[in-house]
Amino acid sequence: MLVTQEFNIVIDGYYPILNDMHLEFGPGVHIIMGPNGVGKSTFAHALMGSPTLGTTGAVQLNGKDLLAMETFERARAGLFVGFQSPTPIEGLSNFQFMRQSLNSINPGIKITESLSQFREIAEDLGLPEDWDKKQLNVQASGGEKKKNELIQLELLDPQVAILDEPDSGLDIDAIRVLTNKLNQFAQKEGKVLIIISHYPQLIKNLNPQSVTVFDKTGYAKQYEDIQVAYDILDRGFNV
Amino acid sequence: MSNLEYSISDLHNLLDLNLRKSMFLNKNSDMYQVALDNKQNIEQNGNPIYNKLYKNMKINVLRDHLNYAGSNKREFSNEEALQEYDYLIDDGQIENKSTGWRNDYDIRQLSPYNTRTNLSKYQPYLKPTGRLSDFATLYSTGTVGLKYKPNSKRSTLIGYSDYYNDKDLSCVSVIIDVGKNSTVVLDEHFLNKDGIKIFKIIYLVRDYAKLVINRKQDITNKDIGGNIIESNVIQFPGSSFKYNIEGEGSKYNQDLMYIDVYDDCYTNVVGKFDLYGNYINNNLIQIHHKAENSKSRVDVKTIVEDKSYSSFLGSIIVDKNAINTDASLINKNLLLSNEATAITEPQLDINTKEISCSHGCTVSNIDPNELYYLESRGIETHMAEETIKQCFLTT
Repeated sequence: MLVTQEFNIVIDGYYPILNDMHLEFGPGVHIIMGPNGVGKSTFAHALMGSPTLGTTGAVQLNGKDLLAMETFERARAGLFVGFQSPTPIEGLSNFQFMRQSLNSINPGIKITESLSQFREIAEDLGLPEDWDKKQLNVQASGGEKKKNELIQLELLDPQVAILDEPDSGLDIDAIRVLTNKLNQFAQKEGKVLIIISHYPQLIKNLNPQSVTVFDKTGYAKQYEDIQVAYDILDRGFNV
Repeated sequence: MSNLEYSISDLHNLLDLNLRKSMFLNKNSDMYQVALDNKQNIEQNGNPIYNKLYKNMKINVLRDHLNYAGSNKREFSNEEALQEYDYLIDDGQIENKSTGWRNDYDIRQLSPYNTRTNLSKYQPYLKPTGRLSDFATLYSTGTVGLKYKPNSKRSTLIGYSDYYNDKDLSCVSVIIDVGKNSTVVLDEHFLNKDGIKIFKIIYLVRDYAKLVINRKQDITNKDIGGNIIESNVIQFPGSSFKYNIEGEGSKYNQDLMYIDVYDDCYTNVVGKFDLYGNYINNNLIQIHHKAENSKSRVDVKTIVEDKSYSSFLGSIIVDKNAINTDASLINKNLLLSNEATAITEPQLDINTKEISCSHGCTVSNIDPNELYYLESRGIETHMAEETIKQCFLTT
């Protein structure tokens, strides 16, 4: 469960981006929509603790004060943000990165098991055979980077996952795999999956519990009626 | 002389005091003439410590360092630890630790005490340069080295150590002569003394030979010792030279590598420095393409943390006749503290159009996006920084 109360986000220490957000994300799938530039990605990264964003108000992750935690502590507490443009790091292989992350979040995990799991997921997603050895998000296509984020989601198995346009850059087949994997994740007990997306087929196939719409004035409103999402997809944000 | 206190700035005035049995005082030395040339050059042109080459090399630390001549010399006490080396080299001394023999099948020891070495023929490689290494040539008590026979295939671990625990300036003159068609790997460890050492090392990589040097600096006494190492590599036609260097800096460190490249050669320099504390490292790489069809690659990376200091001077010279040269020079610095310093200076002197030459020198901080991405996957901040540092050095 992720709950925000009077949650405000500022950039550069001053400029307000999002204001007074009272949102609640329980187990299941939730969709975030909004025009370009209204702060959907900013919302995700403010929750993750991006150092470029300032926050006030309260956010609770399963009852814990999220805003009091460092970024790495938020990840360890069960929050995962799938980046829209994952950061490349030269010299770090995909699996070295995954191993470090797994060791940080779940120190007891066996490396050999996680490597074979990594390779299985990479194969499911149609990634090259030696994907574990490739440098992290370096010389990777947009779609490959997104698939990499999916591998991380599956292996890290967080409590709350916020995925920022996970469908962008993926082909039709990959979107089918993505949808299956997201449904598998969301069906696990207590998992919260928040998707920033405007892709109708994905939204439909994920059977969301709520839709949150960010507007150009810096406010957000949450609806339990999913028809709102379909109306937006039919007629745009001015309805 | 007893207990004379002096700095390198004073040294040019002290040469005639006969502080030690230097080569320029010893008419029987194989290197007498070239040592004398070096002395006369200093007398005419002044102390090389004032050479403008050192303008970014924090030379005041070296100028301020006091050496103690005539201080009690004591045999090196760490003899056991030094057994791991194939050869130990110090001023005028070379010792094969494994056999104690002067020669083996492929390698001949060059030593002033070995009458068969004919060291005098190497004098042209030790002419005055106006740099601090001139002191090594004139002030050393004898040139030593190793000569690999043609077609040798050898791997050798050399410890550049100090035989005595004294605080005097040490000067070491070394020749490494790699015979034609040989393949030689040299692992070089520099074990600092409590004081300053100046090295002049000549590497002759004969026709079609391959030489790999893996150099590790500042193995011991980082806080109290410093080295000035000038290496001159002469690559004969068809030869290959690979230089891997790594270090953490020391009280004062200078590693100057001058490489003369002739026809159809390949040269590769890879440097990795991770400096912290107050340590200083100055690195110079000069590749002089003197003939055609050669390829050179230089890639030196340095991390500077805390109050450490790094300077890099990279120079590519391509002569008019060195057509079809392919050269690349990269120096990247990762600056992790506001109190650390990284200076990088590329110099290109290209005298022909028929070449390919590129360079890139940068100083940057840790990318906050990389740090954030790692942290967002649960990796603690200091671990994430370490990961980024390792990635920086390994790519």
